[in-house]
Amino acid sequence: MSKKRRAEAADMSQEDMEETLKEVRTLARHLQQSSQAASSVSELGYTNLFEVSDQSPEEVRKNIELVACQAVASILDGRGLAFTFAQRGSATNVQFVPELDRNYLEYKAMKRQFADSSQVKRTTMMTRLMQLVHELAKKNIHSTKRDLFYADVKLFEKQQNSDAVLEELSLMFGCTRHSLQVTASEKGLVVGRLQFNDDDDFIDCTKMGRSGKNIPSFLDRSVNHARLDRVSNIKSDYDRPAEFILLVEKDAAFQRLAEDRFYNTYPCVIITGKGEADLATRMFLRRVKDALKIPILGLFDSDAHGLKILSVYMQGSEAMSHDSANLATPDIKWLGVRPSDLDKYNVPRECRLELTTHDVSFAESLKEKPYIQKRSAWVKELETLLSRKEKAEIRMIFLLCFGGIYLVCAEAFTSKGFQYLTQEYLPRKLREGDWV
Amino acid sequence: MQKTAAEFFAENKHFAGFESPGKSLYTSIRELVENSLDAAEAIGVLPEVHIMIEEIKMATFRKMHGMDGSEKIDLDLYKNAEAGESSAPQKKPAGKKVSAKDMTFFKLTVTDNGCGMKHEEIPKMFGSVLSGTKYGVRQERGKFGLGSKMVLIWSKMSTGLPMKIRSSTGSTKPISVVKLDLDIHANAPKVHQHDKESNTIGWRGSQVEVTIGGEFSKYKGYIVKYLREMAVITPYARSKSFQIIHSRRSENMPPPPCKAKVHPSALDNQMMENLINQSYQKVLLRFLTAELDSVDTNLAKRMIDEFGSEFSYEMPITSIDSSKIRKIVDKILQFEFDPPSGAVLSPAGEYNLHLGVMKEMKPDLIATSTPDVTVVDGHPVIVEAAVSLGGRKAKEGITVHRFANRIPMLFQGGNDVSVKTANTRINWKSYRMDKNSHKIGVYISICSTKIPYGGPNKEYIGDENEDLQRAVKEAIMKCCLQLKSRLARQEAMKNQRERKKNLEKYIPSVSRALIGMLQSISQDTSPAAGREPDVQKVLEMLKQKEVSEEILQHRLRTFVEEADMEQVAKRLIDFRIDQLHTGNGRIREDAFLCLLNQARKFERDVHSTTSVFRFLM
Repeated sequence: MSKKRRAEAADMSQEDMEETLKEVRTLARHLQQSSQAASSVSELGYTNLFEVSDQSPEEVRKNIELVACQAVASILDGRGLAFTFAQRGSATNVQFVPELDRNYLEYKAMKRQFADSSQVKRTTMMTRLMQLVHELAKKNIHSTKRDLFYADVKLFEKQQNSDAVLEELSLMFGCTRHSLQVTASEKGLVVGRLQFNDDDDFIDCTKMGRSGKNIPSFLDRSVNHARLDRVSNIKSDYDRPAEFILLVEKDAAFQRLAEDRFYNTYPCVIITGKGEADLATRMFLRRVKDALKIPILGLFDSDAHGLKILSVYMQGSEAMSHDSANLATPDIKWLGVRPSDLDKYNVPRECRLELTTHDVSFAESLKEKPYIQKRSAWVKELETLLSRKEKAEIRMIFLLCFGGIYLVCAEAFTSKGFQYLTQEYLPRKLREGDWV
Repeated sequence: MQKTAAEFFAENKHFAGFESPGKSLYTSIRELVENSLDAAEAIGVLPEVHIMIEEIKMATFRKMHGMDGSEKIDLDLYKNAEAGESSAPQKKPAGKKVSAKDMTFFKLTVTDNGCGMKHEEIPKMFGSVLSGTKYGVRQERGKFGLGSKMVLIWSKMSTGLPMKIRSSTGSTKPISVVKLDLDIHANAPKVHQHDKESNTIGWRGSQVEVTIGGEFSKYKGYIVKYLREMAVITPYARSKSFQIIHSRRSENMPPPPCKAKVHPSALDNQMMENLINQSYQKVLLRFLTAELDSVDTNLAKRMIDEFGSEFSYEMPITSIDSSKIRKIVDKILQFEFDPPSGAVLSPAGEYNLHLGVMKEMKPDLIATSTPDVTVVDGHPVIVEAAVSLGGRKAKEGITVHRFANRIPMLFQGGNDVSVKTANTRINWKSYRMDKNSHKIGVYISICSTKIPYGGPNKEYIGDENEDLQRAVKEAIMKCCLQLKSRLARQEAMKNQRERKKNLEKYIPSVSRALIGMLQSISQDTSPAAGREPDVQKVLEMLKQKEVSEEILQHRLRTFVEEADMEQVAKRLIDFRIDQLHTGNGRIREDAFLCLLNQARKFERDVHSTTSVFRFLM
């Protein structure tokens, strides 16, 4: 079956292919020309913003030891116990820096005191977690957030607690969470015309089977207490190298694209974070983009949440705004499914859902965000969403409705089979350069 | 055939609360007690009321009637059990024969220290039922102004035994002794005895003794409750009934209500006609200013000008016929007047309500609100409220205690404005109270020249008027606000106690983690040169055993205690000075001692900075 499909792809005339990719190539040229040396926030004259940096295990260990000893000295002096760190990002203390097109954390000192009965528990958790992270740094090993939680379930009670305290430690030491040698479990997937070395093993993402390669949960490694890239040598060294990255919101659409070997017909890399993206996927996307210097096209649900997830890839989330320099990839084009697509591609009524009141208020608040405001085409799409009060999910449109299940009840769409997404929708989008 | 007022009430005794023997006993006690309170308050004397209820055995009852001689010959005629031989109701055999309702008999004696009654007027005061002659408006206890007359009707109907009255209008005056009953058809007293006795004991007051039919077991609870609620709203009175003594806790008696003039907005044709018939004034201008509230000469002139050309200032009021009355009333109801003032009313007062609730219910917390005057249908209304929390006898949930013109209302609470407001219009949660699990007592006292009762029995106050709803709601909310801040303070105190416990729980964990890290650092064999001086210093202390888990724990514990002391001190300073004498957020009560009897008197008060002394003469 797949051989047949590959044959079909090969049948596609060279001219057709050139025609389809013309717009993508124009975009790539445009992006390469406009890309400038990234400046830092301090160079831009922002003084109140807080950023964390990568630190070696040795640096992390020294930081922890200093804080621990100062804490002991404070207790012995009768001054009790308190930790000071930058308050974590939320809706109120995050600033959008338009020059860099990213969210940054505004520095606001937070003091956590043992003597305050509402903070004593968190203070204890911080101390305990510091001890655990110190062991990791000393022994130079990695651990998962889940393992850390289980190290003292009685104290942490919920993994949310230990996860939050871990972020606070990275804010206190001014290092990335990866520097603390703690990772989340692997979540993201990649497939397509991409090659890289993972811990010196050569990976070819065209040969990863149907379900793709897990994106490693940490992209660096420490050798002799120095931090080195675990993922290295990223390239697309094929006869037809990847010309764009297709960023997909959900696993279902990713699986459809992988199964159809979409990347063989249209040379590309396909990445998904399976819903809300974890840090590793966001970092990986950033590295691939920096290495290959090709455009990223996003395929997200036609609702406010789809757009929100897309914007987290681009500008970084509020909660992780202290590390957006490493995590954000500002140049992503919104390919689809956009609210305006519903009519343009005759998406059947059955696939459209009514917006809930929550959807409406969420879309309205999103519309006011500065990074959305900056893109007038996006504001227009959100306005379309709000005025039509209809949303649609990729899964419903392409996998159920245009796919087999819908065919049973509607003959009008017989031409649109399971592969409508890969054979009609995406090629048409690419050909028309229909992204914003 | 025209019926006399006495006949009317004899036939419709349920209007006045005499629908069943039990209820009649309850209502009789009420009427007599309320008369006694009125009598004392009328001359500004702190009321002292004794209530005695004696159950009379059937045999004794027959003897009183002179019927004890008759023998039972045809036993089948009689009920199976000798009704009234014991007060416990006995089970009847599945009712085949119809017989009179189970009823026992009670001798009810109520004694007070009030103004007493004039010797000549006593027969008329008790023996004839007047109706519809109320003139003017006034805040009044009681429902229909029938009082003891209705009790006499009931005693006549149920036992036929005469009422005994002893009364003296002053300690040097003779005591009148009157024995009378009532001729219902003639609406006239039937006097058996009307004598004067010499007053050897220097007594002033009245004593009414009446024998009536009743039923005790079902209504005992209501009687006890009534007396207790009466004690709440009248803490300056002392009452003794059965074994229950409600002692005096206040000497602060509200002044008696004054007669109020009719407010123009409450007028109707009938009332206008009555006013005109009874007025001492001769001409229209003077009549308006004298008989109507909120009307001065200037306003009266403007009103008459507006009435029309057929009216003039000096027009005699006798020339105003019913068609003119209709015209006047129609015009007046279109005018706008100043609201009536609450000065004519006599509320219990915040002080008394507070003390009354404190002494009878002994709640953990109480808040009272200062009364505000509202206008309902042209009549001034004062709504006083108290909200209490806790109390030994209190039940969980909201209990509403209702008072109308300082009389407790016990029946038909479901539609009452106070009950509805407390249960449905107050968001108790926002005042830190839970309406299901907390013991919330709500006390609403409404005083007015015309209480807007709902239903003909006057057992509750209607929930229709929005102004009244708002007044009740605001009064309750004012109390709740006070309670909220006190509850918040109690909670803060509780948190304070729990805070220390909470902090100490985490001391071992923190100490162990820190020492664990220090030990881990010290095991590191890498050269010490690269270490920060702070780290170097602490490691050195560890080596010298100047730091250990125990030392850290001890230091943290001391720190927590010191911080605790600081917080307590700070909170104490935060307390307002007038709350300094409250411990645990509970109000300490003023001590109040009173004389056991009237025979001894006090010397003049001696004031010091902290207290007042009184010496016995």
